[in-house]
Amino acid sequence: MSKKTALRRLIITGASLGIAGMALTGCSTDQGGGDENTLTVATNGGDPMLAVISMFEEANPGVSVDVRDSPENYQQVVATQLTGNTAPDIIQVFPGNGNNLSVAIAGDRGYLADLTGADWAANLPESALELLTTDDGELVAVPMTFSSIGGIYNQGAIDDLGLTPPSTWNEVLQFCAAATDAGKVAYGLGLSDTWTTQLIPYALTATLVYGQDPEFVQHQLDGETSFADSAWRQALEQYLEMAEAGCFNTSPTGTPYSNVQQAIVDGSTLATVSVAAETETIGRLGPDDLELTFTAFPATSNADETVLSATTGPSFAVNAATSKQELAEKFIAFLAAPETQVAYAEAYGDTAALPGDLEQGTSVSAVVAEYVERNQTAYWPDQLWPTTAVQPALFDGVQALFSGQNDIDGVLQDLDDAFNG
Amino acid sequence: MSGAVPSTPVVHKGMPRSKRGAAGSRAPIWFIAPALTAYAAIVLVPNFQGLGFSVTDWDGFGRDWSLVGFDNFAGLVGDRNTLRAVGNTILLTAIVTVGQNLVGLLLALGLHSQVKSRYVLRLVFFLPVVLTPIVAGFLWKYLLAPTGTVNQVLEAIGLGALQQNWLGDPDIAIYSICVAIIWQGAGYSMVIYLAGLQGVPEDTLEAAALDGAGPIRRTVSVVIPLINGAIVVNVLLTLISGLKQFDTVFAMTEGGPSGSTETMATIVYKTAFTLLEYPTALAQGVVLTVIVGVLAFAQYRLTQRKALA
Amino acid sequence: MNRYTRRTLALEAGLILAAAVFMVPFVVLISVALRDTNAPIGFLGFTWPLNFGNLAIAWTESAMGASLINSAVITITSVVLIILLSSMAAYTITRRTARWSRGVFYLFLAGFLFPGQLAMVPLYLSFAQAGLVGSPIPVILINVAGFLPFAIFLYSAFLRDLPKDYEEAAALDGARPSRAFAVIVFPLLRPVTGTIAILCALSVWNDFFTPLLYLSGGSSATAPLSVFKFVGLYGAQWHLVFSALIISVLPILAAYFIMQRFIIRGFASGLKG
Repeated sequence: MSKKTALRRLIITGASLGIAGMALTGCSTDQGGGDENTLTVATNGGDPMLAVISMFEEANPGVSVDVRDSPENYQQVVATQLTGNTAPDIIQVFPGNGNNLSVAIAGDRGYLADLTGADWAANLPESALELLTTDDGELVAVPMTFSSIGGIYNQGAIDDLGLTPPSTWNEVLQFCAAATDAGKVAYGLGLSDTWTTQLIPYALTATLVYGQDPEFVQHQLDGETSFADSAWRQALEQYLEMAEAGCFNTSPTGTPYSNVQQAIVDGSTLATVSVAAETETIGRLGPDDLELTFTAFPATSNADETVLSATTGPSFAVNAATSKQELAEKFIAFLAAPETQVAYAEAYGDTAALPGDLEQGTSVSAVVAEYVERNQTAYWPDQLWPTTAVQPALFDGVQALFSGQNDIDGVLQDLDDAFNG
Repeated sequence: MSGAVPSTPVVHKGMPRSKRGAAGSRAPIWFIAPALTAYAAIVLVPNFQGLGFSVTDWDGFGRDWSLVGFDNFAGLVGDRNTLRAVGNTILLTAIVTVGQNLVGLLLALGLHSQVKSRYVLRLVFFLPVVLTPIVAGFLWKYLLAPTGTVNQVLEAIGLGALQQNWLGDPDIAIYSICVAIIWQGAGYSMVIYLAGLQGVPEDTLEAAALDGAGPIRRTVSVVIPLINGAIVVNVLLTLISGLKQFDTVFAMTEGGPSGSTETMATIVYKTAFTLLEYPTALAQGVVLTVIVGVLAFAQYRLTQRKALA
Repeated sequence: MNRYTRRTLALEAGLILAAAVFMVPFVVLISVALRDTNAPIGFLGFTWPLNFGNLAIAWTESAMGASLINSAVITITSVVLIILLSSMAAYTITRRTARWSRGVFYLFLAGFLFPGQLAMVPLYLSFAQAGLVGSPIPVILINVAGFLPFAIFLYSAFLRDLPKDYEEAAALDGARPSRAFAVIVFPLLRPVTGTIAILCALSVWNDFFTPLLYLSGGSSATAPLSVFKFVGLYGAQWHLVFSALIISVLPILAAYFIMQRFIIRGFASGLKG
């Protein structure tokens, strides 16, 4: 290779690739405007959506749905796209408050189209309506699931030990003791992934706090109560009581949640407290005969008192700036249809928000239906918290409790400080 | 910044300087234009726009904003979390800069030799660099879990007593992260040191060997001064990437447990996207930029002076 | 000096030992990728026999083929542009002795300081206004501009060490300066060019956030986007995720292996300080 040709060859390569790049551009600049008959959908974990779009495409010949999934950095990416007016036509949003793509924030900024008066809106339960409506009174999203938190048990593994899922707090501690005797971990805890820190507190406070007083957050806002003065204290104490009773794996602060999932599959861990959709996720990891049982997680000695922590889950909104308003609303109506809802919930491993009269196949939905029937469900509090600082304070607080960096008084104090801004 | 710059060359290794006025000084000025244009448009302008927003209350998401002066910065002074993040960042940077350069240089020296497996080994040590830092972080999280490979191996070789809660113990977690970063970055430094060693003339080494200098003395007194360019580059790069470290930390601990591995970069991210306090995040970003600038400049001046000595 | 002595043997043994330690995380990566989920897990996580089927599943399920091509186009275009722009700029910066050239050098160095978060939103808004979101152009431009400080810094450090005798001889022969650069200087920079090419290719290839933001979900996904999309769909099925990951880094490894010989060939023989 002569010296002269080295640079020349480089320049030729560059030029030809530049042209190739341009050519690539030509056929892919379809964000924003684009094809009249293609609907773009932003999802955060797109599996359940993929399970239902073919139904829409079959019912609407000529229309195609393009799912744009961002399992990572979803809020950041789509919020930036909304600001730049390049976001997809349909957007997955989060009920209530909490992040840039939550109804309270994106909706109040006018990024989401008003869906008030849609046919399906009449079927919405009051609790969902509240979480999906902006301050201006506009309903902006259709909910897909009613998501709950509870115990997920490897049924085969507990059968082998002759155990059953506990239904009172004492039974929880007995369950832990029996598991330890058998050389197993009772409840897997992977606090290294911060989102899992809140699961047991939410499950316990459903019964101890929010079930007792559904208006608890409002009373906090009014200054009538606080984290420190409520049964949140008891919930955290019980959390640590479980740790002392040997319910958890060793060193939960260093354990990734994926280890917990794996340990449940192989039966070395009997259970975990998590979101109901995890029955599907964990189930997919294991062999076909892996049976997972979902139950509400008790907090008191009376099984009838147990309240299920459950709330409106993933929801979808129309981008206010879409040029395909009509098609987008048609898609939203499709999402609200019972057939779609049930298929979506099944793929998600959860209960549909608007199942109509349709039978739901999952074991989770049977449990949830029972608690809805008895009116013993409580929402996830973070959706109503007034500042975005409370949830991170809870994450940090739980990790601090388990790594000895703080005590319950300190954590409750931090939570109250975060709540009051 | 450029006002304080001395007119000595950045890297000077005692080579006789050429006469001025030859081809060198006629290097075409337009050669700079394409790079400068791209750099100004894509790096300088948007960063200064971002910098400008740090004195407003724009939240990065809405459509309105107004000037608030230095309020965003005032909130940072004495903020416990910000201070802890600065401390962690400096600790992490110090360990990684020293560790990665030491390992990288030793590997480069070892592989710039007649060792038969050198081509394969260069590939082996470079392998970790190929992984995305996020992925490397996840991999190490897997290895360092309480029941992970590291603890298993310790158990297997009879050192079970040394088992640790590597990422869950607030006193250890940051050091565990440093190991992962050095593991991933050593090959990167090695490649730059190897390129530097290519420029060391064989006969210089031979002359030193004939003088009876042992391998260690030969390395320290002959080779090191000759690859000063590579050293300056490497130290500056590890220093800067350490100060801006985000991906590995976030993948391994998300800054936890309970903030004990929070760095400046993770705190900027959390402030912006978890707490949604975008203006504060911009202010933290500006503080980070200033810290990086001051330390990088100090280091640069220091190594440069050493190079002239 | 160049003989393989007993000391070289000791060095070799030491390096191989170090390499073995370095490889442990990769062994785990591979053991998970090739795991049979129904078999008992052995030492370092291996199951026996190795299950290469996972790689095949990951390849088809992640539709990695198209992404690899997209990644290759973006990476090669970016690398070529970076090498051209930065070697030219660095040449003039180091060879000109005027004050402004030093100023320009420090201006480029300032690029090291900015954390990514400052420019993200303003830059996105500009590209959105220009209608370029969804195309690979912003990704290429951002990568090129973002890598310029590093490349110029590296080229400058090595250019300052490079004697000017050859260029000066060429100038005396009446060659234009741009020709002297192309014919004489640029080939002499080969080890640095190789180093920059591989490190730059790597960072462009692995870049996750820029393509995510600009190409999100569109038809021109890159390899890391496909891996993460795959993570989204397959959750904690680590054997498939790690398989996809291995596929996605193979091209860049091959590039390094080829580039390595290019780097190692070194300064043209005959050129000695």
